[in-house]
Amino acid sequence: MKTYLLTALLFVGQFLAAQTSENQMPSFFHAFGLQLGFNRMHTLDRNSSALVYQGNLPTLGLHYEASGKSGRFLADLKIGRGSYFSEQYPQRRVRFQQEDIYGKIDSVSVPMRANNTLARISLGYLGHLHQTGSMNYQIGGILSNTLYYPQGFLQPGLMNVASLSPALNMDYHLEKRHFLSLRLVVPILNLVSRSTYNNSVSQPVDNKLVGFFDQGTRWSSLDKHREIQIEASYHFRLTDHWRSGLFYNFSILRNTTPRTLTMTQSELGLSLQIIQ
Amino acid sequence: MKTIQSIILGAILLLSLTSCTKELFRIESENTPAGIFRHIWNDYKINYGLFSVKKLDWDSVYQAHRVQIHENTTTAQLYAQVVSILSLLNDRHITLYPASNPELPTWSVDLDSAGTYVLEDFNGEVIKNNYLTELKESSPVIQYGKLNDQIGYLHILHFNGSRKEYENGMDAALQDLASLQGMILDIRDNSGGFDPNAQYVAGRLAAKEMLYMTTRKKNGPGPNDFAETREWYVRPTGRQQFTKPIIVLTTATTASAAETFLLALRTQDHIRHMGTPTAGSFSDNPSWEAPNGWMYTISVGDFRAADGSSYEGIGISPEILFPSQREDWVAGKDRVLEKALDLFF
Repeated sequence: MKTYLLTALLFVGQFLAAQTSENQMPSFFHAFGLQLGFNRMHTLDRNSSALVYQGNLPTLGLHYEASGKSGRFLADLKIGRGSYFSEQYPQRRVRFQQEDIYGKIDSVSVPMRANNTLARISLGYLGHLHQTGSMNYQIGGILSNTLYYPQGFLQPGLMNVASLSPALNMDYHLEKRHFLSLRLVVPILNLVSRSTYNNSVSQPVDNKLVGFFDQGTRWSSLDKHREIQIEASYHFRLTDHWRSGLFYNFSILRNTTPRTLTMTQSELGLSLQIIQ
Repeated sequence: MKTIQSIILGAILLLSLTSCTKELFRIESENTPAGIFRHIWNDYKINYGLFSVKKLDWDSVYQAHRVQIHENTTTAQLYAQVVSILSLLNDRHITLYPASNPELPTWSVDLDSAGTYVLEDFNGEVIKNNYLTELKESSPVIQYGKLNDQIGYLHILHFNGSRKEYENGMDAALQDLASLQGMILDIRDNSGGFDPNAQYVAGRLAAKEMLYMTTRKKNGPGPNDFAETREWYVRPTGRQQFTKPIIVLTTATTASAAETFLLALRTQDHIRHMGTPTAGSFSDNPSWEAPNGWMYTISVGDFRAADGSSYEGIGISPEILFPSQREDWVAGKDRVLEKALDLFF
């Protein structure tokens, strides 16, 4: 299914490219985009495991951008879901056996592979900073919330991060129809929710969701939560109203409370945008 | 040409970031028999919440067993040594899953040598076929029915469901059983779940508000590093409560949240407790993993009854001690249920 979608996206791109004019991008525009990607994450969460977990998550993203003379407003929504397992021991199984009053034994062997869900929403603004030739620099801020929700026997990497991040963006126009974009995002103010030291969410009356956020949420300064996100993309203008592209996102995260969690993510994908 | 070169150069630079990250995931513990043994022992040292209750010197345990592990120790021998130290904790909430070694059985103090749990003092089919005039499932976690025209039967399978399942299930059950004169509450095969669910269901059977439990859980590696003590109250909750005489039945399978549920019920004057002592495993027990892929649960809390007593490793003894025999069950007889029914009249 994924292959069909990606092929279709490329085919549409080739078809539309034939209808492109040579005009520059307008100064004022709205862009709506769709992104299909594949996110490979690695997590070592010492609060519950000595094993490195690997996640393979197909992702779907929606993008909105309003560009004006002084800057750009950005809104993104991304969800991903896929397998999540110990990289060293991907085929592990857990066995449960019970014997009833008649001596009959029921045996169940359950794979330890889990699922992980990623959900991210972000809003940002980038103001024009400087322009030299083909290079255009922008600076601004991004407000985001990202949820990592593994579901399995253990939940290494279970986390919600709400962040305020300065962002630096560089656009490089190679030709009229091609341009590269590189963005550096460094969260500086983070509200992080993780499992408590004891990995238990129960507390009187409350359900698991309330217990998790109530007991495990704290403001994290840079000495406790460090993260760098690098987003690179290549855009190819197909027509006056369509552009397609490739993107690669890389992020590295380290949170030390209650015990160190390290996570890297590499995401590669295709994008298609309509511009008004 | 310049365009293509720029793109390739940028891509190489970005992809090189990925290859640099391997070092970030370096694990301190050695994946050797001695390293694995120490890792598991240390996970209990810094996370186990019941050393003071069990009165066990965990450092001495390490010294005594460490000498038996060397570089030629086989996986089976390592497993035996780990089982040996975990056995000393006498904690049914500790289970070792050697998930990366399928030839080794799951271990816990209440499993046999093949890793099998033997449930010889309960069978739901016997009750359904021979005692109940009707059996309804008001939710995936609650069954109920009538034993005769005066006494109802309520079976809570476990406490791992969603809150809605308990709310809807209890609403339907209590509405149907409201006109009866008494109830037998069966948690003999209930191995627990989530304590707040148990607290909620207890509230549907409560006539008055009572403190029934205090809990404190580990929040650091030191032996006295515990988060603040939390108090658990049972109070009448939900649309309606059943406050006529209740006899609650337990066995050694009754564990964890089913035991905290029992602590709540025992504060209520209209509820009596019958059967055999419970498992004696109250604390929450999340899982941890060692570098060799084994998974194990650890009791992270010190859970106490309202009077400060700990029943960890002991279990709660019933007011009316009445064990059942396997041969009675095989013959289709639930002698405990019959005795409980007699007590109503």
